[in-house]
Amino acid sequence: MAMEFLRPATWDEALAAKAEHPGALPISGGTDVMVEINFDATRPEYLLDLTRIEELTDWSADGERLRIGAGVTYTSLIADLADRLPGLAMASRTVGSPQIRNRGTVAGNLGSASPAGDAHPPLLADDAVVEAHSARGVRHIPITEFYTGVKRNALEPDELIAAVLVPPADGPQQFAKIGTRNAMVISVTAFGLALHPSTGTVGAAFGSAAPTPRRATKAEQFLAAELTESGRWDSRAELDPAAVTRFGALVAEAATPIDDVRGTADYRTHALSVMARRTLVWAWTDYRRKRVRTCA
Amino acid sequence: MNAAVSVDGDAETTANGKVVGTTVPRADGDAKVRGIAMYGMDYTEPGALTVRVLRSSVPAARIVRLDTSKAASLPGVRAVATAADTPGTSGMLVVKDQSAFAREDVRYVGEPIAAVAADTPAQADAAVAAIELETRPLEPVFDLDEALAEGTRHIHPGWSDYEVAVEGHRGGNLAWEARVERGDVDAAFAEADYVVTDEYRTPRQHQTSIEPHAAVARYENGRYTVHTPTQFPFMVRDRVAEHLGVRPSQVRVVVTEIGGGFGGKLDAMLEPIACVLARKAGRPVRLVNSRTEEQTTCAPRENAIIRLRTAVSRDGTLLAQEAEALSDNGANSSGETVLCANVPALVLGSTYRIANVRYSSKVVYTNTAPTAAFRGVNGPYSVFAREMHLDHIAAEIGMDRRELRMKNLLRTGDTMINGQELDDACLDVAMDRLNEIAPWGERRSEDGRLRGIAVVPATWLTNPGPSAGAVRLSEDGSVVVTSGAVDIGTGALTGIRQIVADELGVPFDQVLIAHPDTDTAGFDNGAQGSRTTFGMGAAALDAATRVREQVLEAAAGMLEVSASDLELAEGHVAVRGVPDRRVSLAAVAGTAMWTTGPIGSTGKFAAPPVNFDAGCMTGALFTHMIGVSYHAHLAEVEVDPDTGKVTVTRYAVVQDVGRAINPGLIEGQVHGAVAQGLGYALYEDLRLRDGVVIDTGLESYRLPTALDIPPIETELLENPGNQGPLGIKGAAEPPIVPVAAVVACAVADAIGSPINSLPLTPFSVLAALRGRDSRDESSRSG
Repeated sequence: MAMEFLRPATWDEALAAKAEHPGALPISGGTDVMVEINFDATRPEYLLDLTRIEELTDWSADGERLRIGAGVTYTSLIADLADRLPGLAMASRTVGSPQIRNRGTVAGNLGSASPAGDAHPPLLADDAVVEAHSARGVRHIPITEFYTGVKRNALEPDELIAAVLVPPADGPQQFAKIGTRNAMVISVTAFGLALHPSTGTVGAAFGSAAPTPRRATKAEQFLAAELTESGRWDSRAELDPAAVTRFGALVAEAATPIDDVRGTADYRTHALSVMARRTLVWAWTDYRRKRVRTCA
Repeated sequence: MNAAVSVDGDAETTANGKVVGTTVPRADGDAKVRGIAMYGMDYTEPGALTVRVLRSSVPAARIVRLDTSKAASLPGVRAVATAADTPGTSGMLVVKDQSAFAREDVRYVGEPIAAVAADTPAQADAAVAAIELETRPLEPVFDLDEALAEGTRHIHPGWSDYEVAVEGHRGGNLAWEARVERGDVDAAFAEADYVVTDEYRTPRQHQTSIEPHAAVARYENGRYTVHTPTQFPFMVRDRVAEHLGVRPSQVRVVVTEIGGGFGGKLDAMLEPIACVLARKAGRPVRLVNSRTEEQTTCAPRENAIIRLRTAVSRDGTLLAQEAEALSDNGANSSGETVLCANVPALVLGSTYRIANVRYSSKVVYTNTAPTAAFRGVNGPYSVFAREMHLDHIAAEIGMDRRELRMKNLLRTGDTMINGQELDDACLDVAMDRLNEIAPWGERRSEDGRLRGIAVVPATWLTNPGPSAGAVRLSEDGSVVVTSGAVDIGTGALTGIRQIVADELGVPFDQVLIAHPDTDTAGFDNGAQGSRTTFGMGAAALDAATRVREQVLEAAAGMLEVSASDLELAEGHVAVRGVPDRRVSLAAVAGTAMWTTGPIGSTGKFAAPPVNFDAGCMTGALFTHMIGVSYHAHLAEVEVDPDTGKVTVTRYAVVQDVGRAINPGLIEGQVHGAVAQGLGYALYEDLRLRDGVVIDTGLESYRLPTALDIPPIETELLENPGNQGPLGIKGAAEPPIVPVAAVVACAVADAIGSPINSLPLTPFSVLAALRGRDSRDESSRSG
């Protein structure tokens, strides 16, 4: 079957094309789409190439949030935004290989909406918002409402992702991933953590352990309450080991993983509790060190 | 024993102008780095048709009906082939039990049933889909023990009618058995202080060459010509002829560049199918495997079970050992698994003194894709079992693991289990040198991670196969070597050029090697078992020596001196001590052309006979070792106690290479082999469920990446042998052999609990840690 290749020169043309051909598959870096096409796993009638639209590769500070254009690659995100989005930058460093990071985009991860996408846990932990455009207008989709099923998202057929909006870190962030080797690997499971001292809240989310990327809400609430009630946000005292263990257990409880070619459900649940505990200790150590530096 | 040689030497020539012993850049490197090299999958011919293969989707069935008439009538379809077109029954040298297409029965998922040649890929796909096939299921057999059990269905009901090269112990689902028995095993067990028993299981490992199998065939003047990236052109020639029922001389095999082989491209695979379709279509045809076809049908390293039982005295002396090795042949003997049946026994009995043994190695038919050679053949799993078992013994008798090894190590003059004396053994030297690089002792952790260390000695061989080659002096003074030897990426042909360049006193870049073509080249036993520089190197040196004599004879007439007063250097023949009196090789070639005739000669190599005790073995096709080399590997690992992840933090290799022709290329082979061995130890497992390969691509079949490989410390020992040219021994294959063993022993040391199966995934390591913890619990409560 023939495949039409659409190459809009402007964003408006792209939105018009998507409105006319709602089945068109957007392609930017192609690190996921081309694999699917090359293995004949998908054969869209139209491919919608977004690489001519230069503004998509820009990022900017948009009020309280950073606005990351849909064409921003992992490589530029790591180079430009690691200080303000450390969790997302850490996750980006675990994506594929340098070649893949040079082409792949966070928006592409969102478009594919694979439960294993590396960018999802930090986006969830950091309350990101997806900015979707269509010929009809602009829609802001909270990240918690974006993932609707295995490789399914909340975009309407005529919508394209224009950008993802992420608040810069107001506290320590961490990311951990377990793969079956050290690089070029789809996660067995992954975990992202963001501590928000300014609001006294916690973001904790995981990938590859449920049909969609998912927040561990009970774990977040438990840890936020624990840190608030114990006065630790201010005292920055060492964590209570029992609380760390409890946090890990609550994260694991939120998961509903399956057995597949990459790992077992049992291992994923166990690994999530380990990663949750470890990232919490790392993040808290960062938080305590920062105070020391400030005082000095 | 010479001193260790540096692998960093980048001098292009030594002080005396010789290139042997220097890291000459490989002759094929430039084209490969630039992407110019023409690999098998790049090659095609004008008008070539596309071939697609109908493969079985079930592991065991009787073919009730096969009708290709509808497929043949589809547009663009030029030929269809089935078993009716390939009357021969073939197999890798020993048991002839394989047909190119399934005949009465299909025996594995992926077995070819029919093939189509059409103008376009889409037409070929459509034609394959239009082939009508009806089958009746048969009881499949997957488990090795079950396959051998009484009452299990025989996968080859007609096994007794198959042609065999030699008679051996076989029958039913036992494709072959090799046995070694020496000494009084039962008496030794009766007097032992300890008896230690273990069972080890290892998975299939896939060669995973970057380039898939590919073949382009044409039929002209009653002969078949096939271009293919094969490691062993003469094997492919003979196997194609056997399948097609024609004489080998009716088949010409031309070898392209090869994008990786590792043993997976020794056997004919696509070539018979391409040849028969080329004849039927009257057009060239091209057939290239998909990655899924590679993973599911192309002959991986066999899965195996090894059971060991050893009698030990209190002081650590190994008194006697019994072993049963079960190796999965898959559905037929198209690979080397039967040929290598006795390798586990040779491995078990080649590194330590054991006077009394009873070894049985069984190659078993199952309804799975046939298995075949992969770098080190049965070695990696046999050494894994041997060394893990030794650690178990050390724990039982309370002896240091290294001390147990040193105590039982074979020394110079000792004999291996086949009665072969090792007059150049240097295992002790290699182990001592390793101990200087990384002194033995406990590795402690300061951060909660578990640390472990292991050292493993190993003895390995060089493939003993024969070679013929030809060397001629061209009219411009350059030298051309014609041979059937193939460079599968090891740089072996660069080494051969170095040998010839030094013998004839010409610059390295003045020695060319013709591409292998079975019509023009003499026989060569293939790029396998590190034999190319060894066997073909010897044949080329033999030919070059004769060419040298012809050159000297012609030059002696030109310079009017005795040949014994002449020397060759820098592309000239000169009178010794009078460097001004010299003639160029071009002038010598030109003069000889019209007087004594063009200068050139053939050369040959056959492995010299070796004394061993043939009486202790039955069914052994690999009976002894030549070009024996000695190795010691060290691994240090860290294990994450919470996730089970293993990190290899240090890896060191001390390797006897006899003589290093090109130290840099050997170091490259060591790195590649260790990387492949780490893949086998930690990641790779070609999983099957009910005969269906699960890992159909490289997304779930995990090869190690650069980030998974630690720095590898390499030291080469020059301990010249007397069987190959210039003292060399095979170098490229052996460094994979001890890797899984040394990593597994180090992990067991780290976690305090052995894992008796590979690979050591985080999942199995974590399970072992939990098992250890629960054992600790129960022993405390008890």
